[in-house]
Parts: sequence; C-alpha cells; structure tokens
Amino acid sequence: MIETSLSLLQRLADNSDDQAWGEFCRLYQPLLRAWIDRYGIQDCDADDIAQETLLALVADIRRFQHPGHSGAFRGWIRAILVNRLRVSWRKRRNTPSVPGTNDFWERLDELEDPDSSLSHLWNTEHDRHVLGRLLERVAPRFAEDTYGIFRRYVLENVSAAQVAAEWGVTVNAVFIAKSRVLRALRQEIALVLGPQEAFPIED
Amino acid sequence: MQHDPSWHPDPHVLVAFDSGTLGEAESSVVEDHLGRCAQCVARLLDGADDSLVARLREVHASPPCDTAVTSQADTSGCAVPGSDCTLHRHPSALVPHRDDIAPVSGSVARFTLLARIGAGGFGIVYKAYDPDLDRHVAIKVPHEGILRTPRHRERFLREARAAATLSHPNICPVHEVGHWNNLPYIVMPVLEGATLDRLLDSDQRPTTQQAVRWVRSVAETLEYAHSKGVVHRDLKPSNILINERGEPIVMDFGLAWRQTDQGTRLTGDLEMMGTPLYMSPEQTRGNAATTSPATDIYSLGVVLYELLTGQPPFQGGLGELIGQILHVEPRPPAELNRQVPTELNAVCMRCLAKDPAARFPSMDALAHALGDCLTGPVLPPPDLNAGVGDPVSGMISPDPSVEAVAPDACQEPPAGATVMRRARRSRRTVGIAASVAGLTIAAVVVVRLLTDQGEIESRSFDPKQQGEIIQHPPGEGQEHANARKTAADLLARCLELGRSGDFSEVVEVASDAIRIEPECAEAYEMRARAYAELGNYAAAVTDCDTALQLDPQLVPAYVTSAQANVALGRLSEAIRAADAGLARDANSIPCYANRGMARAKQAQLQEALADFDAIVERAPGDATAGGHGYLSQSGYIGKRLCSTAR
Ligand SMILES: [Zn+2]
Repeated sequence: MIETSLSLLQRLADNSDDQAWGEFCRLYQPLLRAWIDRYGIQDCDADDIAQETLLALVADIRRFQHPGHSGAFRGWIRAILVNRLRVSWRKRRNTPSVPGTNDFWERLDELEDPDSSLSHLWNTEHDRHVLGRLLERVAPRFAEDTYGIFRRYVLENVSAAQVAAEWGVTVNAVFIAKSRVLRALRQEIALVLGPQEAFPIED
Repeated sequence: MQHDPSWHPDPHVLVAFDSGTLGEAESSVVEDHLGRCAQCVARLLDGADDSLVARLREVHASPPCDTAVTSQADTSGCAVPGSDCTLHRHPSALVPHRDDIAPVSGSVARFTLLARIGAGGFGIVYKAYDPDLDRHVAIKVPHEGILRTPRHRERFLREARAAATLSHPNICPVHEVGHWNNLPYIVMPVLEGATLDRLLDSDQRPTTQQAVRWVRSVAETLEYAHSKGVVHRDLKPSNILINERGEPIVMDFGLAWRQTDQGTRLTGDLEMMGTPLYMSPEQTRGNAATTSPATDIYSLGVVLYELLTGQPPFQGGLGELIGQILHVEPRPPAELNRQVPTELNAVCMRCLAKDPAARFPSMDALAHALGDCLTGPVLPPPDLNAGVGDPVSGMISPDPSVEAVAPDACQEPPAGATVMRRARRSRRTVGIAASVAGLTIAAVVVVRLLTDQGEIESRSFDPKQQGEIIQHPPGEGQEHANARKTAADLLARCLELGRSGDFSEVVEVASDAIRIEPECAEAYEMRARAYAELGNYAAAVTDCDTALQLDPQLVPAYVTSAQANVALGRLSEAIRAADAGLARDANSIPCYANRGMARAKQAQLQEALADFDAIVERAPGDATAGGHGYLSQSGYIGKRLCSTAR
C-alpha cells in the first residue's frame, strides 16, 4: 500500500523536494534551451523562458493526469513550451534583437500542431535526449562489454551474429546483454517518468 | 525443473525476457537456459522487436538536427549541446552522475585541492592551498560538462565579476578569477562559520533578538549592493554565513545581475536554483525583467520568517508552493511563535507582500524598521518549541533542558547531542517519509469509515470515487448513515487541508467530525496528527490515547503517539507506542522511524541502527540511481546518522 519508489514526476507533484527539482531541471533544461534557441531568442531571454517553462511544468504537474497513452508526457511538455514562448514573446515584443516576427508565429503554430513535421522532430529529439540521459544513468552499472554489446545490437542495429563475432561471444550473450540493459532502462523510465510512460515510434 | 532437457521457457516468457520486462529472478533462469539451448536462441533471433527497441533504433538512426526553425537563429552544433548526442557516444565516454564526481586530490592551476567543502550552482567548492601566498583558499570550479560552451563559461565568469564589483566587510570577496584547462575558476577566502540553513537545521536556532540583528545586518549589506546596482536574486539561508565573530556574510552573488546593464544581466540557470521556497512572486512568474531590489527584500523576509518560526512561510509540493507564493497570504509569524512582537510581525509580513510596491521601499528602510524592533520592549526569551510545525519535527525536538540560556546567545546543544544535531538536518526527509505514509494511512481511514468495514481496506482514496465507495450497512438507520457520511466527508476534507498544510483548520474540521461521530477513532487520530504538525504534542498524545481506547488496532495512532512522545522527550513512552504499533503491523515504516529516532536519542545506537536497517530492508529503494523513495531515505539517513555518531 505504501509506495516505496515514487517516480520523479510523482515526487515533484508531492513535495518540495530539492533533489527532485534539481534532477528534473538537469533532465529537461538542456532540451528546452535548445528548442528555445531555435526560435532565435537571445541568450538571457532564452534562459528566462526555459526557467518559466520548467516552473510552469512543475506548477502543472499535479494536474497532469497521465492518460495512459504513450508519449503523452512529451506532448504535454511541448504544449507548455509553446505556451511559454507565446507569452514571453508578447512580453518581450519590443526587444529589438529578436528577429523574424511572422516566421516566429508560424513556427510556433507548427510546433503546437501535434501532426506537424516540427512536432515529429520534437518527439524524436525529446526521446533521444531523455532516453540518452536515462541510458547515461544506466550504463555505469554494467561491464563495458555488456553495454557495448547492447549498444551495437540495439542502438546501432547490427545483426546479433556480427555483434557476437565482434566481441568474441556466443549469440546468446548478445540477447542476455540486450535483456539486462533494457530491463534497467525500463526501471529507470519508471523511476523518472512513471511506469506508464513509453516512447512510441512515430507513425 | 529447468534442468529437464525437454523444458523450455514459454514463448511469452521469452518475449518478456527479450524486451526486458521479465523480473530479475525469472530472467536469470532464462539466461541460464539460453546458454544451453540453441533452439530458444534461434527463437529470439526470429522474434520481433518490441516498441522500445524500435524507438531506440529510430532515434539513434535519425541524424541530430541542427537547423534553427526560424531564419536568423544560431545554428551552432547539435540541437542539444553535449547531451543530445548521448546515444552516439561510446560507453567509455559515459560518466557517472555529476554529484558523484568528488576528487579531493589533484590541483587546479597552482592550487592544491585539499577537500571538497561544498557544491552548488555551477560548481564544486574545494578547500585548496595557494603555495604562492601560503594560505588556504576556497576555489570554485565548474562541474565538468556544465560549462560546455563559451556562453556558459562566460556566464560563470560574470558571477565572479558581479561579486568583484562589491567590496564590503559582510560580502564574501573574490580573490581572483582564472582559467585552467579551458575552464574558469574563482578563488575566494575560506570562511569559518556556519550558514543559516545549518543553524536552522541544528539545535542552535537563534533567539528572536539575534535573528533580528542578523537580518538587519544583511539588509544593510544589501543596501550597499543595491546602491552599486547589484541585486542578489538568490538570497536564502544557505547563502548567509555567520562567521566566528557572529556576523553574517552574504555569499554567492551567483544570480546577481547589474541593474544598470540589462544587456549583460545574469539570469539564473535552473541548475542553480534550489526549490522556489525563497523566490518572490515576481520570480516564480519568471518575470526576470521586473526583478528589482524588492525581490531581495521579499527573499530576506522569507529568511527572517524562517529564523523566527523555524519554518518557511510556504511548504508543500512545488506546484502548490508556487501557487501559494503567488496567491496565498502567509500565516503571520506571531501565530507560530508567540515570542514575536507585533511590530516585528508587521515588518516580516510587509517584506512578504505579493506586490513589490507594498514592500519596504529599500533595504535601508527595512534595516531601520528592524532596528526599531530591537529598541522596542525587551524581547522575551526564546521559545524553543515555537514554530516546530514541520512534519515529524517532533522526532528531533530540542532538549527542554537547554531552555534556560542567555537570551542573546545561540542555543547551545545539550552535551552529547551530535547525533541529534545531525538528525535535525534530516528532519525534512524523514518528515516527508512520515507525511507520505500519513496521507496514505489517512486515505485508508476514510475509505474504512465510508465502507464501515471492520478491517482496513487496502485501497487508495480518490475523491472522485467517493460516491461509489459509500455503502450503508443493512439495517442502519438513515440518520446514523447520514452522520457517518458527513464525518467521512469531513475527514476527506481534512486530508485535503492536510495536503495544503493548513493544520489548524484540520484540527477544527476533525473536531467537527468528532462531534458528529464521537466513537470515531480515526477522527481523533486525524486531529492528533494535525496537533503534532502544529507542535502541540501533548494534545496529540491525548487524542492518540482516546483513538486507541476506541480502536486498539489503529496503527497510525501508535505512529503519531510515538512521534509526539519523541518530541516531548518521553522516549520510553515513544518506544512503547512504536512497539505496540509494530506488534500490529510489523512492516510499519513510520513506527520503525520513530522508534529508531527515540533509540538514537537514548544513545542506543545499535538498536537504532537495527530499526533503520528494518526500514531499508522494507523499502530498499535504488541508491545507485539517486532516486530512492522517501521511505527508504529515512532509513538510509538514520543509518548514516548512527555511523557518524560512532
Ligand atoms: Zn530452450
């Protein structure tokens, strides 16, 4: 009945936990910052918007009810980012160094549309970033060959037979490495985003 | 069975193994089997990939996009610098979480690193030796990987420059700024003393008068910084150090920016921000452009509030916290600490005004107002038990025997109180553990009352389902059913109020529930918990006794009783209550936590350690990921306490 392992999002929603906040910021700030940069916003404003977005995410996190369909979280973050960019743009409209007004609005609309190619790019980069960070946390728990085999076979999509030959192991070792690292990665996903979150492929 | 050569794992087990969704024990059976069975390996070779594998391959294969979406944006490098390409990096390049990097040997430029003395903001602070000047210094070096780009390096240097424009006896100076291996570093003096957060977490909370003196001195110091056009923007107890002469030193102008030069103003990288506990409403709105000296006045008001009452004006979940900072009036500090005189109460509340214009017009004005408080009527001696509204603060309450000290000195900790002083540092975490457990227990209580089951149902409470849960036992009179329903509603309301930290109101509402349903043990327990949160431990114990008379099986009442008794220093009673709770629920983590604290207070470290081990055993968490649950944390922290105390 008592939860022993709350996800990071759950911890953010439940308590003003310094560690959870830091962890959340470290995870998402670089991704948000990179996207805000893309909108041609100058440095110090971009930092502010990233901060506003993270605060808005946290303020909203209680209301974010995971609908159970996969990929919901990344879509929610995208929506909040779009909203913060809009608000900030209006607030800073008179800043001379921000270029390309029409372009900016159009590109925001595009990011808001979940089916646009820009949203697909967001999905890809979100997943690459988050999965990359989570793998970073998982990798040190494994021997170098275990993670190396996982990497070649799963990430780089090299055939099991070839990976086995490269590392001088039998094919079953490739599947064992895959299974072990994937299990750890799934646990990490649950620990950070909650057990329901998945990273669906694009249509 | 798995040694039977005709045995193979079920196909669905094999699929689960392949996708990493099979449990550890079962996985190792399959692993074992695969070493001997080419048939199953062949099946895996033919198997379809699951969606996570497909997604990993997909995002790995797609090239990092480095194009800006608007025409004139900067297009340098990868979209996500440094981290975007993780999936493309060789595993040997993977480094552990940066908090784990703590080299204490080696050198930076000419400085020999001696010890890691702190971490925060962009960097780690080391104590180091400067052979040229033959002295010890503090050297702040950025976290590896944090200053990936020239932009970040530039910002780190601006921190130093902002501080370097200030020269004041109460501001930590910058000795020098340099570059080493392409990374900047900042050299500062080693300051002896304790930061306010550590004093707050220790048994050395200042007296009211001392708090006012310190805050006045900080206000005068910031008046100077503001006059130089520098706003601190990140005032909090951990940035104010009380040196060996008892004077406050303001540190870490890390988020400072110059009012006169908005083009180069420094905005905070989020990695530098702690919780928004000390942020002003305008800062939580992210409205950096409107940040002004009034922002510092607000934050200093929060520091004053915490010094006076032992707790920050707002607490709770981050989202909730931001909502409160923006919209909720804090409880006046005088309500939490009767020793706070009216004038001081008003000064503190004025600092905390939502509207920057309603606060003091300057730090100077604040300093004067605080000075007036000091020359007013002689302040009564400190009330050590005031403001202990923290959840479970009672676990580590100050020893009443030290109450009779000079009113103007720091509270001396009782002899041999090392364990307890350290314990207090952990009270928030332990508090969280108990709160999480508490809410869960309370949820069960409500469901129990609504269903009128004799046994506690293991079912979490969801207000939306409340309507469905209500079942009237057959033959029950309508009037009594209504009373029960009302009491249940009231307790549900208590839960909500408890979540938002309004424990006085919980007392009121729980009392109403008791009037309606005088036989309701849960209502007494609820009120007891609220009393404990409010620091009224004696009342908490009385209510727990009543609750347990009505229902001796009510484990949460034993928990609260143990907690309150620890707070009252009645350690044997606390242990007895925890024992009784554990006799009914051998897995009650809060019982172990409270008994462990009581035993640690009695210096029975072996026994305390056993209790904390019991917590860790029941809620092992995941220490490697740095993300283990609160419950396990209380165990880990307890264990650390015991080992430090030895
Ligand atoms: Zn087989």
